[in-house]
Amino acid sequence: MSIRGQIFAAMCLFVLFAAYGLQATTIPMFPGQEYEPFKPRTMPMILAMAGLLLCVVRIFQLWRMPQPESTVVLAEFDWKSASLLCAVMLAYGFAMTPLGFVAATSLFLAAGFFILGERRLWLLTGLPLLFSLAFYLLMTRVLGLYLSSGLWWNV
Amino acid sequence: MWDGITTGLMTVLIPTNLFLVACGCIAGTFIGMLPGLGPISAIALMIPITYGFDPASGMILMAGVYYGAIFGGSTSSILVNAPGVAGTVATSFDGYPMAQQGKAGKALAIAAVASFSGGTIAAVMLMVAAPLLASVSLSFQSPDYLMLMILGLTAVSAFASRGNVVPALIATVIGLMLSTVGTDPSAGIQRFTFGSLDLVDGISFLLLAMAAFALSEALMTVLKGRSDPIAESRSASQNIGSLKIEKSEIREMVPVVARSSVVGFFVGVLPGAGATIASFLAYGMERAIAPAKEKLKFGHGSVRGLTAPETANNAACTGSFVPLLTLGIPGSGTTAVMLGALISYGVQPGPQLFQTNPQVFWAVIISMYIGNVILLILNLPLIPYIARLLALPRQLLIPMILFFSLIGVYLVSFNTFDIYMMTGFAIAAIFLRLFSYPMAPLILGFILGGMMEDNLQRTMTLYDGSLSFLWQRPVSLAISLILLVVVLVPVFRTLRGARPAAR
Repeated sequence: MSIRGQIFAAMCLFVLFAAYGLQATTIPMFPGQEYEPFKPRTMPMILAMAGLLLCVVRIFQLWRMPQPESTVVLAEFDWKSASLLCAVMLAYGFAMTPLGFVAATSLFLAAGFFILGERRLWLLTGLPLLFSLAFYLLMTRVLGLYLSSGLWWNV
Repeated sequence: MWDGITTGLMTVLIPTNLFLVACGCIAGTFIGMLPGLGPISAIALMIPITYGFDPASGMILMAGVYYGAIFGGSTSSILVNAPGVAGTVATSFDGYPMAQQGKAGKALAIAAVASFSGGTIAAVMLMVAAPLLASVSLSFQSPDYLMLMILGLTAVSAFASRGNVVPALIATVIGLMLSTVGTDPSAGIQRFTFGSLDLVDGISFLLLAMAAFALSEALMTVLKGRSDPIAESRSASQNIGSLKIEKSEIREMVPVVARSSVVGFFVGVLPGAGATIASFLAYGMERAIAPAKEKLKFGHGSVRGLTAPETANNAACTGSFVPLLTLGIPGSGTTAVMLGALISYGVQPGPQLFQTNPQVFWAVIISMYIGNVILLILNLPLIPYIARLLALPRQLLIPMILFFSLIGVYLVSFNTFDIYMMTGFAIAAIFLRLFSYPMAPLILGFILGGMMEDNLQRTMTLYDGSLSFLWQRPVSLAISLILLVVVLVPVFRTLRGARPAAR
């Protein structure tokens, strides 16, 4: 990673710590608690200050550092596949209750396989369905755990 | 001590627990072989499975997974020069050249025997050291614990590679910050919940561990490109050659094992040092003391060069259990995950564990030994087959890892909010990793955050907000002085490094 990128990251963390510290000042207290040696906001305040101080040290450290000869080039990463997988994970969470475990898991696995380059039809359809069905039966029938069967199933 | 050993043996040697150690070793080896997935991910993936178990069985399974993952990491280091974990990087220096010379089987056998010997010697040392330290730590009070936790967290960062100390400290603070989300334990006031009911109980440790390690590591593999190092292992594993070790090689290994076990164990006991430093230290030490002729072989398939790091990393893994079992303070990311698991079973590690749950205390120690035996007799012959299992294509393997990570957390809470939160944390973890902020200190900070706040509150109340405990209590004073040294050494190192550069 380039030094400029590292400094940017340290600055982002500085903002995060500052926001955390500001939020810590809004933590409510019971009447009279402000006179006690330890309050619910004591630890967060210490952490915010420590974080801010460390970020400043990091920025100064990076400022003095020479540019490394080889750096990680972010553009060379496969951002598209990783972003799509993250989106699929979020969609999996949304789909779990309405579609039910089996349908949501089958779709999640099929989408994951597809994003990573799998194109064989039986692996995109049969394997996810069989796997999720087997997992569902194992959890619900053998281990006695509840897994959503889906709103559509109830209807 | 003998009573304890008997208790431990009786707990471990029941068929169910022996089966669990064996399963743990095999599963750990499989996961540890996967590039990017180390013992922390392996253990985190096992936690949801062990929720229904009694604490001793759960810990026995995890100890097996831990050793299996370390051994699996060594296997991928030797076969494909792709260390699954940092602790096995030094193994690849001589293990991979041996594999290239057509002696992969021998390299794997040496690694297995060295791991077994290192783990066994360290387990014996643990049996002696842990009860002693546990009895001493019974006299510890809140200020001492507070200082010990600060020392542990600082040491983890101080042992980070040069230039990475500050990022490691920042990661620790982020972990501590995340531990403050939820209801404040002292006053019952909600903090950083933003009115969300899902955050009232705080962030689950399992969720964070899975997101920071298993999920982010799987996504990092996707990010880093389409090359498939696992597929390489298929060709490498098909012809591993003979597993036989010659007598002359055994004679060469014996003194190396003895030295590296001691080094590994003591480095492992230090908070934050762990298997990586132990393996490099043992490798460096052996190279330094080797005769000139032998020294030339290092890096080209030396038996000593392979034995030293393998022995030391296993001994360090065992050593890292000393602070966890005796003080309740994990010294590494892996033991931090184990601490979280123990707490979730309702067992509080620390000096009292030795008295309140002796079966857990001793079962963990004995299971380490049994785990080593099983690794030797079961895993070694199975290595070619386990390596073939890894030939599963990446496009099928990664979605499966994502699924098991997500469902592992979902099956505990049955709350889809956890899936969203995990995804968010995984994305944040990827960015932190890309900018060189390590994850192990973050998880360590998160695990210790609650205990640290608890001890800080008691200390502040006892001393009425004064910092006099730092010099009034001898134990706190001693720890504070060690802390000072730990903080000042990297500063001194940086200054010393900066001066010649300035010249």
